Amino acid sequence: MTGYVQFVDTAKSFGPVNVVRKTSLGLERNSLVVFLGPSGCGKTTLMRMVGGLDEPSSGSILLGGEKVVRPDRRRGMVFQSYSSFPWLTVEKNIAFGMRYRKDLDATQKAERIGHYLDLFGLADFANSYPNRISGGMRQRVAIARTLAAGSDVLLMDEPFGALDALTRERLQVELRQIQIREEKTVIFVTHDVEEAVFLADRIILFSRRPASVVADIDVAAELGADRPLEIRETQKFFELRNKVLHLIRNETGVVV
Amino acid sequence: MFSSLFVFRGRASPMVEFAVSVAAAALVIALWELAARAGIIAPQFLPSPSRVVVALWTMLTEQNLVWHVAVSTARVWIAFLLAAIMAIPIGIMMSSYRIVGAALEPMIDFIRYLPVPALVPLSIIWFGVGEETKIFLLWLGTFFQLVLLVADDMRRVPQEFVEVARTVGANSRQVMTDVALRWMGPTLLDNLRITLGWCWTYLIIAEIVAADSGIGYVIWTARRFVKTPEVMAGVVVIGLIGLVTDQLLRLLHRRLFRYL
Amino acid sequence: MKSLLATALSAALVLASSQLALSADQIRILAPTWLGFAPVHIAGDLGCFTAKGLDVSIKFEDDLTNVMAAMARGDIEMQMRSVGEYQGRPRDASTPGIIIGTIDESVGGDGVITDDAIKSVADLKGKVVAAEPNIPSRLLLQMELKQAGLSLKDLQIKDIATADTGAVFVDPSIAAIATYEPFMSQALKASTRPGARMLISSKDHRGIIIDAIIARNDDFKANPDKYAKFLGCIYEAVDFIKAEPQKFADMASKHFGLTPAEVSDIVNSSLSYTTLAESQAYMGKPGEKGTLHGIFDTVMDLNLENGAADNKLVAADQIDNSAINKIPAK
Repeated sequence: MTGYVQFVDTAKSFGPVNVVRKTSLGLERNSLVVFLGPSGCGKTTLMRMVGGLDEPSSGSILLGGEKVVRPDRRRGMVFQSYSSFPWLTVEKNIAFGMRYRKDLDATQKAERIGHYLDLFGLADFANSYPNRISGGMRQRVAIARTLAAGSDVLLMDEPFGALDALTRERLQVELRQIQIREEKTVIFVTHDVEEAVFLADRIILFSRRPASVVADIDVAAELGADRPLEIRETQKFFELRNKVLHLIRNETGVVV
Repeated sequence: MFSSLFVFRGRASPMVEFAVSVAAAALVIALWELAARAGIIAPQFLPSPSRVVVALWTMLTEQNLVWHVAVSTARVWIAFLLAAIMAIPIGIMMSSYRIVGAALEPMIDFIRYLPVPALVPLSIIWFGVGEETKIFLLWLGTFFQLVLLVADDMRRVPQEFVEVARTVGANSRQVMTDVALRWMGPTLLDNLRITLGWCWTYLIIAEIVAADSGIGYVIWTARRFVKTPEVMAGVVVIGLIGLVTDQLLRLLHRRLFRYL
Repeated sequence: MKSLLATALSAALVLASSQLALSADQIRILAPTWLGFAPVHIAGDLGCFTAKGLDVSIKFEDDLTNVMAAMARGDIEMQMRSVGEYQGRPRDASTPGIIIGTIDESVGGDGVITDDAIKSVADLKGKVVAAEPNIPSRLLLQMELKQAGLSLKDLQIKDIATADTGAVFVDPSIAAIATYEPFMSQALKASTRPGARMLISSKDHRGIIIDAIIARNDDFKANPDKYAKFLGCIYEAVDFIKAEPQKFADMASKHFGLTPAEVSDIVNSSLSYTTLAESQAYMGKPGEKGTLHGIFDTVMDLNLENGAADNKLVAADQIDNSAINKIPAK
């Protein structure tokens, strides 16, 4: 098995409850992988183990050949809610990503903050508190912070789930662009099929709990790397989406 | 301007609400004055507000009330700050490390229910009849409530924030100071404001032990000689101090936590 | 704002300075909140203590348990209390404390109130009587009951706090209340019960309720002259009080949060300060027993009977007249 992120016979149980069945997967560096599956199936747990936030009950997870033991800067989390700290301004939130970095001096940190403020279109809101900006902007702040921390791998747990459709679309476009430009590896958990097809280079489809891999779909081969918004209206997109939906219905017997 | 006062969940301007508060208080005082003058309750149990005001004036100008107030305030704040300085770290530790929590929670819960007046002779044995006992009794009434409130606050820190901090490289101590404590800030200040109020209610118990100063002492001596207007004046003073302190702390809350 | 800061600072200083080191000429006193102990304040105001090199401080403490704990701990050198209360539980022969003088006696300050349903003490048989445990007027009640051939067991006693006398007296099911001033007069004044009056008064039983000056044994043994000086100042104060009642009222009012008129009122209706001569009569001449010894025994028996005391204390061991007899006669 090859891959920057490797799951080697990884399984997880919380007490008597088996949440993740023995899974072996290899994820390429600088790709956007979507974990898709019904709610509560265990896909999030699998992702969290990459972050070192949960420990596998058996098996292990390797990052660049090294075993993952505890959380650190290389793998950053973006949650659906409680993603940015309410007591810090947008600027300070992003700066928080670098708070514990000893490899940057003050000038470098300031420069990076400026860079991410511009990249995410947050420059005008640098001194605003999260309660004054929209939900979409809050999620941008969270992603910016993770990037500022120098995370190599972004672990995102349904980060756009609480946003309205328009904002969600925009953020999906931005995420792909940033992932490519900043050369990040992204594991993205969702139960939204359209989101999965639009975003993913590769979709890993999971069964109902306990999670096991049901299907592994190479989306990049079908849709390519360039994903303008309009691609959602193409025939290819539509077919791929239906294929995934059918897979879900057949394999899991659950309407996602 | 006034109609919104009567609408369900309507909001009136702060000036209007202030005017209503003042008017309501004035009405209560007026009724009290009438009840006292009509002799509905005997004056030694309920003196009229005017008598209380006269007593208050005498105490201020001739009986060093300001000095007694200062002494009591100092005692309360020393005991309260001691309680806070201890309760915040202990509460955080209790919630963060279950060995601390499991060990301390039952004992704290038990002590919390003990009636402080019954512990006075014990505190004299331990601390004598000086300032230490008074501070200890005030602390006793405050610490055990506060530490549990802090532990609860700490428990409610969203796990997401803890994990975000970890994934940007924070260690456990940094998670506690840079994330948990910051999250807890608003509720912590509220809990401090509330427990400070409880601390004041223990003032009399604390100050009547070998008493020679403080509002509690003034109230107790007045009670001994059935000078009910003076007793009520002392009680009113404590109420006013509480009101002012409360408003100041609320103001501080708004200033410190503009991001809410 | 400045004066507020000044008072705050002075308050903090007071708190700090109250922890001064101990000294051999120190007498720290705890006494109940009552004008009977005013001679201590007056002696201080007159400068007697400073003139004799004594460092005397007095604080109010109504709770006997707290006073006993403080004395056992060595936090105070002296307490003042009525002889009857002094004997109360849990005192035994080894408890610190020894009577070295008297300061005042109750003359009308303690008593039992009732209404016209009770014509004499004998009528109290089987009735409900309210009284705080171990207060002096319980002793008066006991004595008068004895004379009527009754005892406390013939009554239904309900424990109350004396401060609640006025409120409790409103309840018609309470036939009588043993209490003390000023709750006694206040209750009678405010009462609507027909014929509300004093049934028993310490005025009719002089010498039963005496406030004693009680020293801590070890300090008394180590510094007998200190106590002789102290007592000397007390009786000088008593003489001053009798000679200048108006001045006394002005001085005392500041210490008790009362007006001078209130001071005079209470003192005149409740108590009589004991002069040196009267106290020496109570305490006895050197090597002899005074009248206090007999009173001590009488009160001791009453206390054992009413359950306030467990241990029979021997008067001779609890009273020491060496200091008071050192004071030069005038």
